[in-house]
Amino acid sequence: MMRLRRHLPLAIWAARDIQRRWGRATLLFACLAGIAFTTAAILLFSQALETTWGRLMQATPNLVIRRIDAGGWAPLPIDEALACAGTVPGVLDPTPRIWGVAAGPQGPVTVVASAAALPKDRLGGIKPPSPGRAVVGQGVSRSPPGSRLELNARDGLSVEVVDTFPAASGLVTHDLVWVTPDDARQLLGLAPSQASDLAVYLFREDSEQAIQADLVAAFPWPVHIANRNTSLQRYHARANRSGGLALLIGLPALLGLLLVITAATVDTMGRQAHWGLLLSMGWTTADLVRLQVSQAVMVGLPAVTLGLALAYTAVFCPPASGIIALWITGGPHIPTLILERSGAVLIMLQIAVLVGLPYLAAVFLATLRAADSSRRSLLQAAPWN
Amino acid sequence: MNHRPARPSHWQPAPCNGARYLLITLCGATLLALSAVTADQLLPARDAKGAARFWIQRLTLSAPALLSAGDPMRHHELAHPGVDTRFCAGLEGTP
Repeated sequence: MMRLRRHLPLAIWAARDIQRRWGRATLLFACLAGIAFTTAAILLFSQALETTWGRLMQATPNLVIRRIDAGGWAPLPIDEALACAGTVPGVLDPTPRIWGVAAGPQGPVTVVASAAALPKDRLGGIKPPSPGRAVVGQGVSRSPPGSRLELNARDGLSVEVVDTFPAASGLVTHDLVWVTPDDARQLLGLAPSQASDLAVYLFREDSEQAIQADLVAAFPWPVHIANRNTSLQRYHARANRSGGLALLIGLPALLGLLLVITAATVDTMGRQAHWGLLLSMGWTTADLVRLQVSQAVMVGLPAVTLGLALAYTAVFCPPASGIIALWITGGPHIPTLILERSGAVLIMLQIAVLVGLPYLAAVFLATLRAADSSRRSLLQAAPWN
Repeated sequence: MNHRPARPSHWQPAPCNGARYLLITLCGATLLALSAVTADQLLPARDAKGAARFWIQRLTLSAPALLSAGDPMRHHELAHPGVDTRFCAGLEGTP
């Protein structure tokens, strides 16, 4: 505490110096905050999205088997498919899926139905839909519950919206329409004994590649098997491409940091006369360096902290995170986007060091170099000389 | 004994109140931002009940809805199969 009180007069002197040149200080504050915000928002979002995506994908089926024919996709006979999949060792819980993409009022939607029996009471706080009714995601229709929803795929379907999925599940259910199996079959043109494809879970996840040959041999017709790992790798590839594009956005931020450092160095050279005066009045070089570093910390630390806090809020607070996701991914706007927050502190510390350390180093070294000159030469650098 | 020199009547200290307020404001804003981020990190996850994971399991979905419906990245099963069977008549009937 005594050491803090000893440095207080210097801190106040530095604050008065900032007050005298408040315009420059404000610009510097805004530039550092902007650089920290831009860099942190992109990196935090990429890391959070990858973590969230990876964790959610662990809950998806290991393999999805689709029947194909000369024209592409073909409906899957449920009983025969279950019997064939059940003969392959290592396959757990083959589940027929009834789903498809349909045209909704706000754009394409994913229509799903549970072929398996569901409890008649509420599921996750929501009552399963009955014939002619649907549970929709937050982005399907802005109409209130009780309104009609028109869907078009192979055939048209009109359902009554009875409920919406919880906002916390927006990342998964944003454009989902949950209907009964009969309604979904009518919409997608499936017969009562058919499904869109078969979802398969595996006893051992590392047998994902090896078991596909057995599954293909087990079915009497050609099938196409999509596995979870391939989907993850394709997402990583797309994320790398997006990251490369985001790097282009980050390049002006790095250039801005370079300009800030240059401005700090040039400003230092322009204050030589003032420092010469202070040195003549008994200040030491260490006092001058402490003064300049104090000024830099007073401007830089709150700026970087504010930029990082705004980036954290923009990425992890639901209303703003949807906007950031829309900006970076170009996908749909999900107002209730909730991402994993693990690892965010480490990234913010790295960015604080990346932005703050070069700036402080530039101020320190430039001041040390300039103040090391003789008092006479410093005073002669004055514009009135 | 009082060793402090007597202040002349016309003595006025340098106006440092603005600088003090600026210093307090900057320190306070920094601490506030750090506290907000730390508090948010210490709070339980917003989706603590795993609503997204619950529905992706119950409805046997293939991927989150971050991409538009119909996008191949969203529904990787829709990616066109690598083998074009249109020119292999009878292949659909083989085991």
